[in-house]
Amino acid sequence: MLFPTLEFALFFVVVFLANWLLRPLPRPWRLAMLGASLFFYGWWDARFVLLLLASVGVNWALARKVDELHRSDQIAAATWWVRASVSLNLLQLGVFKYYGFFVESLRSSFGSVADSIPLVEITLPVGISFFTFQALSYVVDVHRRQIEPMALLDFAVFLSFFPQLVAGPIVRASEFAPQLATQPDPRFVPTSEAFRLIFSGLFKKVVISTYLATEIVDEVFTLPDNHSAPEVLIAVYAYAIQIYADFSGYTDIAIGVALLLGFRFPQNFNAPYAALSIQDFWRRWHMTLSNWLRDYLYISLGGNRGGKLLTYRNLILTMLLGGLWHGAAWNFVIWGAIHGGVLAIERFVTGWWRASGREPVLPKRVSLTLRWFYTFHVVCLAWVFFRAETFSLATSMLGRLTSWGGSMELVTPLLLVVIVMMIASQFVPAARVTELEATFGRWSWPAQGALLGVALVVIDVLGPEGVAPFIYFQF
Amino acid sequence: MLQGEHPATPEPGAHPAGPQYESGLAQPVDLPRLDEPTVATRARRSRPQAEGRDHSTMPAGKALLAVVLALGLAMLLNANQLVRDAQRKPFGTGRDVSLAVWEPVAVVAESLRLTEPRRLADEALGRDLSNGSDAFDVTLIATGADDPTDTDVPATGDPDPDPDPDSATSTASTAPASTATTTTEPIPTTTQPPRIPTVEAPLKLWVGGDSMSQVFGESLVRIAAEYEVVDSTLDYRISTGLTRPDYFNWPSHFAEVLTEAPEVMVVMFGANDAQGMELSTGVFQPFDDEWVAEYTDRVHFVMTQLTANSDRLVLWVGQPRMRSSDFDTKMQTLNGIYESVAAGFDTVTYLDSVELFSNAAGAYEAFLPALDGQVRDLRQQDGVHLSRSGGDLLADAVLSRLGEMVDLTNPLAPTTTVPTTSPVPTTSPVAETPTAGSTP
Repeated sequence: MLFPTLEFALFFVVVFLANWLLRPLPRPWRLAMLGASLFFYGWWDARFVLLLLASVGVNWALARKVDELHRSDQIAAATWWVRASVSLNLLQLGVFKYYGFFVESLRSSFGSVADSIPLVEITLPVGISFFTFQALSYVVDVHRRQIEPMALLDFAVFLSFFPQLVAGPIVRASEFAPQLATQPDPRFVPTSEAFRLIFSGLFKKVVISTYLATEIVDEVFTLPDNHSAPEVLIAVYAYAIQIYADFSGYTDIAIGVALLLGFRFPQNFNAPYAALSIQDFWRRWHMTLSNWLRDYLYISLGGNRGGKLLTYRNLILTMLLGGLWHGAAWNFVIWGAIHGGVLAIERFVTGWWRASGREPVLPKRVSLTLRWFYTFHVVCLAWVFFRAETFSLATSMLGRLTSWGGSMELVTPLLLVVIVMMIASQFVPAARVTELEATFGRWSWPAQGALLGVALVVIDVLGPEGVAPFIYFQF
Repeated sequence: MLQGEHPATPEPGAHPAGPQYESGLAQPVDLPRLDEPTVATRARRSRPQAEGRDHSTMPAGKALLAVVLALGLAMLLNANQLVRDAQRKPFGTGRDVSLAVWEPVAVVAESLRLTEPRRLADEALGRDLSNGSDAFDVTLIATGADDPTDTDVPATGDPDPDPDPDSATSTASTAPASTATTTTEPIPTTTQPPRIPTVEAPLKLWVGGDSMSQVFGESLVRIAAEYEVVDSTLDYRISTGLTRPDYFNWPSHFAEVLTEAPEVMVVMFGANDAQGMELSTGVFQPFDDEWVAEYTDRVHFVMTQLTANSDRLVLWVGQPRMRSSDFDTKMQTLNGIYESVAAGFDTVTYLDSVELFSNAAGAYEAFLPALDGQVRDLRQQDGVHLSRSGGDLLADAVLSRLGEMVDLTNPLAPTTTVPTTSPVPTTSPVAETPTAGSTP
């Protein structure tokens, strides 16, 4: 079930009513939420519900075993059970997400030797990367004694909770469980923030993302050799905005929907294109994934505890695996390598500059502008590999940038205005957004409802026929 | 508005849970720090609260009323669009129920003139607001003296009371507008030997159809560009076909396409066509005798439209094997129609793609030899659409077939061989390309 559909709107009205009526009754509320989430997930494919329930059962049982071993001071045994959990979860991801890629690669590399490995058509369950990561972090957090094991029903509600189930944000048990244990006050539903998130998310996804995809991105990235350098350059910028609008739009809606149900999810985006370094970018882009990678991968690899060279290695490895998380393709690996490599270089240069004790040579405003320009363009360079279907298409895109001149047919004034406005929106002070929310909040509920109704129609008018799938559903 | 999407910490009074539940891990230097307040967070923490009431919150009951009001108002303002969406659904219970719900809403909304803003907005954006007609307009065929509609008996369909006399391609036919023609006679064309395209005057090739032609068309355009003497245009429309011109009217669109005088047209239809057709004589369910007759007429109509009074070559690509056996059977029935109708036209070539996407047993299989000889996944996850490798394979086969009909070698190129990615078979049917029917 997609968020920007009439089906979801009707589904949500029913769930909202049930949520607040049943919230004082813990068990019926949990059963109702679990049922709603499974219905939401089963809308895509009922078979996926079984996989989700299997993931719930297996990870809950493993975490319980790990906790029992900890309580009897068998730490080494507990560690083995955690390894088993990690292996099982990665195996699940591997089978559904990477099997075809690896078998094709093996057959290409080893020919007849690998021909006996069967190629099997496997349907990728939507959202598997997200709920698998949530399950993994739960077992590890129990092992690290950061959370208490959850009851089976609580864990099932957590892992399947529909707002974040298919495309994040990646919510951890440590963030969700305490909210299950408390009852939010139904007199104070944070509607202003929730409505703002839902409607800005809808606008970004339905209007901005789709407009950029259809106007220039899809055409240029498919056939770069047919387009001039200015068109290719603007298409790269447009894709940077498109993927931001698409993904942050989804998580805005997810966070807003959860707020209306009395749950606060972690922030996932914080104006990423205002970043002044790649390190800064990763503090603002898909924050729940970068936090996850930091806590469960980077730190597990040793973090920055092993000296400079090992730190650089860990950074690059973390980002390489972060790239692979997005899919089984070499382009994602290159995307991760660019980010990991630049993170390592930034760390080296920053350390060297600090050690040298030198004063800044450029005026602060110029320096900030240059840093923003550099960061945005490194991110855009990496997006070329992320979006292009193949390595050769990515290099064709970059190659076209060197041959200026030619048609500018696809670069319309409206397109440029949309790109510039979206970048400018990254620099709007958060206080202005808060003021707007407060102003909206002072309106009566009928006035708020009327404005939201008009906003829905405006989004529908400006959007395309039908609903394009969210980019991050494939991950 | 779009900045500071969500605060990392809760606002006072909203919910007791919040950052105290975060992991509290030691933060490394290089990756994000959740404990470091963002600009948005700092702003929220300092947000003034109105005494006694937080203006950013609302009781759940009123929130529900606001949501229901928003949806209700949006439905009224959008009522006509909702009716249009319902009309475009496949014929059946779902469509009937949708129409039963939305048509009364639209009546109420129109009586209150609530649909006017949306209509004005759509008009300003140049949208087509018509509900469309589930019929083909015979005036779209530029036929002239050999107009097949002069002699053909109209098939089932809605009579068009107001044929457009100003249509650029109209022959001012006064025949009742049927959904299509029922002729089985070959349509005269001005068949001539194809000219030899050059870099200066490249062959104008158009490729399009439904979503099946997206990936395949992209591959075709890319591979065709390597010939240097082909100027390709891709024009696909998702969820379209020949059964529902009320959703997207291909003959009308073809009338515009033909003004560009493409010399070769590669078309692919069918994947969305196994659905009912509603005409003035009733609703025809897929693969009933009446349905097959009507669909056959429509295919004939399109082939006539594309070839009439020209020496244009039309390559009609059939549907590949499908994973669902039921769907595959339907597609093979459509393929049979395409093939039989194409046989009546001198300049229409039906290209069978079944063997390319079948295993040795002739059944569907996703993993088959790709262009490079490696076994690759040629299909998307839905078991219907082609993957990039599948698109390349089909595009290469189509261009190979085209190469037998038109000299695509660039006389000015250093070598006179065709692109290396495109092994041209010496046999004509697409299905007989070297990779056809191979097994992993």
